[in-house]
Amino acid sequence: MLLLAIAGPVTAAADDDLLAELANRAGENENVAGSFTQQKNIQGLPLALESAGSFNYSKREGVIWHTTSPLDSVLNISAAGLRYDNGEPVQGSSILAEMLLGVFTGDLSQLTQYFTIEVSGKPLAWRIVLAPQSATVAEQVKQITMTGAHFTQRITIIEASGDTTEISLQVQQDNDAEP
Amino acid sequence: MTRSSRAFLIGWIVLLLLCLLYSGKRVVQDKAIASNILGLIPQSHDGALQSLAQDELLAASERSFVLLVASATAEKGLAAAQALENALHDANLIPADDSAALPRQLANLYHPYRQQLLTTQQRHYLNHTDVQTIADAALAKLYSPVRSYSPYPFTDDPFNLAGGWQTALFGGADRFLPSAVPSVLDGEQHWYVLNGELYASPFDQAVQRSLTTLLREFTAPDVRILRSGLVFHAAEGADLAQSEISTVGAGSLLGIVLLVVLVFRSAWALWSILIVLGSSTLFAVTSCLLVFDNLHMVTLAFGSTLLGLAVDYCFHFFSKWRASGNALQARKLISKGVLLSLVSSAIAYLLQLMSPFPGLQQFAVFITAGLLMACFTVLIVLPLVLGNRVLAGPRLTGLFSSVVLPLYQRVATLRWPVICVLLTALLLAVAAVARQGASDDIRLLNTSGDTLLAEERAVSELTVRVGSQRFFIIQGDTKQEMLQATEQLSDSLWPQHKDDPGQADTSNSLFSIARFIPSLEQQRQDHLLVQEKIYGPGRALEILCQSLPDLCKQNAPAAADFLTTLVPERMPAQLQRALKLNAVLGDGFSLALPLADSLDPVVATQVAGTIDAVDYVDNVANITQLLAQLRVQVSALLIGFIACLTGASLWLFKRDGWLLITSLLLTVVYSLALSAAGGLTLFHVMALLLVMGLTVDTSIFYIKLGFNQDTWLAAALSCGTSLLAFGLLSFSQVAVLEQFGSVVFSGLIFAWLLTPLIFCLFQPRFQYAR
Repeated sequence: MLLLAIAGPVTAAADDDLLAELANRAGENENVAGSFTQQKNIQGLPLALESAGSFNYSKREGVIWHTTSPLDSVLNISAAGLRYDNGEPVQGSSILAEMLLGVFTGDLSQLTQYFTIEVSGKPLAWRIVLAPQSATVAEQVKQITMTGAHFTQRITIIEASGDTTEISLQVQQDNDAEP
Repeated sequence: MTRSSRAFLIGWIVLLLLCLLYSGKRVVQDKAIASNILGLIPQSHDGALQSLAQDELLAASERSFVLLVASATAEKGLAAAQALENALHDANLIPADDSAALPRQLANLYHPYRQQLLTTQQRHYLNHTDVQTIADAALAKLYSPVRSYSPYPFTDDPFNLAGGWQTALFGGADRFLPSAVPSVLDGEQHWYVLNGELYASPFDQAVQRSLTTLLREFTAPDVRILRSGLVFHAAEGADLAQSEISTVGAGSLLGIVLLVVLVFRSAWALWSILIVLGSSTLFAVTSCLLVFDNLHMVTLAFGSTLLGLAVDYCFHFFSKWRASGNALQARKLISKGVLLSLVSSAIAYLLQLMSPFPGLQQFAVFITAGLLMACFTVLIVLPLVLGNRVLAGPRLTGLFSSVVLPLYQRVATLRWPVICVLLTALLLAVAAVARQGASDDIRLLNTSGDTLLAEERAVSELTVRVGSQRFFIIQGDTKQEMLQATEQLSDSLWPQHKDDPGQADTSNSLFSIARFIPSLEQQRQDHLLVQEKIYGPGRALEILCQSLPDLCKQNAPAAADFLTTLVPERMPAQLQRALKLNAVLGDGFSLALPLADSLDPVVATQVAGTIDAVDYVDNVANITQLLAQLRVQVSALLIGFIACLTGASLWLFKRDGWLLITSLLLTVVYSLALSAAGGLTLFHVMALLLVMGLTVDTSIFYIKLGFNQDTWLAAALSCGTSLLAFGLLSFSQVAVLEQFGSVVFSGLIFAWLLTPLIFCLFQPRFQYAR
């Protein structure tokens, strides 16, 4: 019985190069901070939920997602999972954290097991679409679209329930030095 | 040959032909050779309920297996796992995987009851958190970039109680990664998990071969596969038994042929032996198939030793045939001895019928039937066929008269020193046996190799496997009583969960129907709590609505009435099967299985004792206890048998009877002392019954026919062929066979050496018998 060809990201060769360059660039970013605006459309709610805040990415510690408007809430996103500032963990969130970290940084190497990846564009104007490979992920996420230049600028998450989240990121600081 | 003799012979041939036809049909067509190693283990249950529970558990789990696949990188591992999964489907070994539909099916089932189902953590959170904090937390999650698993729209379940409840249903779910093939992390290594369910029985050898061949072909240098499941143990057990049969059977046969050719140098002798061995084996197989409807492979492995036993009669016959020059005369000379030997051996083997081990019961019938036919063939058929033919060839008088007899005569002159040595050795042997103690752990009898056992352990540690050897039985007049008793059991086993639910994890929870459908009483309490904290006036939902006015203006979630329809009877059968709940829900009882099999049996027993409706079953401990009881019983039987034999020997053989008993006792104690290192087991004791049969055989022939070159040669040849068979068995990887083989091997040597010594020491006439 012969092994089939090894599965991997569904991309063409040129797209592989773009993906690799994005991953390298992500690896160079030690610390990134900025602000975000978020718009969430929830099925059943006629108006979108808008929020804003700041984020701080550290390669070693992950992302601190600080929502300042309309409420004050801090979410820690790390390889260990998602955790709110009151210490309450989000159950079953390690894969969500992995996804968010990959999405924020553009390093999608860890996500190839869970998503098929479609990449297009150029190094400073790229677009990536993630579609779930497994039924388990598909139960939560339908599709994730990312666009960006030097850093991720826009993220659109379409959940399986039909809820959508659109996040715009503005990087204020791009510092390679250790905090 | 007279007409009656000819008719007799024809009748014997017809009988054997019928045996051949019947056995051939049963084995080839009906596949009557069993390889289910579990068939060797006795039922240990104290009652019908435990037996029923065990059967249901086994039926639900026996076809399941798990494969963990890994490679150098996660990508390669995933590709290998997907390829293996496709190969298993293509080979028709497993049905299509429909587990992807399970989350939606569960969501549909639980939707009406989403306000009355809480996990321990959720219950604790609601009990200890004020409504403002609950509302604030829900709002914060709403504004989070992603939410955890939410089976229902936000407007249906704004606090996502259902997401928490349904995620917690599968113990250890958080350790599984949702890759295209689910995986678990072991450090940096990704292991991809394939859950398989065979179409056919794991004991079907065609299925075993198909699966093991596929996995063997799939294994590559950079692909690792870990296996877990009964089918692999069954396959290994069957391979082992086949290997043992081949080794012991072929080894015995080869040894017999070589000895016959070497000593008797006669084609007639060789053909005679082959006829005896063939007819006795065929009759033994047929008898087992008639009595038990099947024949276990381990019985065949054991039964290979029949060759060494049946040939004993042949050797005695040949010795006297050569000495007397006439086959009919030889029959007259040996018939009493052979018949006495047959009776004593049959009694010794048929005592195995008293054991609860189906394998040993089969062995008893196999050997007894085989010896019966061997005796018949030697005493009736061979003389008819051989008639007045003479067994010519050089007689090996040299060895006995020049070496053996003088040696025994010389030793006999040192009577008292030899007696002192024998007595000292006897005392040391008794002390050794006493110091070794007993060992009755059923796990010592595991036939699976170390590699498979290590893989089984690794799979258990990486995934969540529910064991089937230790569990709770919950009885009740109604399903609700059983559910409440199960909840009480869980609370009693882990009382710390109420105050610190964060401690709850895979290793301290139960797999039971109550996990999926709590009692109505629990649902009622949870419903009240949810109304009190979330849906009641001024509660968390109203507070949330202040921040989300649109939520409460349109499609506002409302408090739901308590529903009494979430009961085990209403769970769809298909869903029960998919969740394996059909194994834990019986008629008038239900089962609760500790997840990860890490519950201390002592604690489990204590807790079960405090709840009337709950019993704890520990099959490992039960069978171990049963083995210990049987060991004591068989030991008592052994002693009784020796006592009866003493009486019978003294009555039949007068003073010579003491020689028989002395040889027997010394042989039994010495062989036990040498073989039972690591502790005396039931199988060592049962093997002693065979040793006794063999020793009595030897003694009877010396008493009846005298200690001379013919009798000694026959005994030596018998011992030699049996030594080969049991010696090979003592190297078996199957613990039962190894224990049997080692006791009988050493017993044979002692019987062969000591019996003439005892006879020469205490009865001078044996020193000069010719």
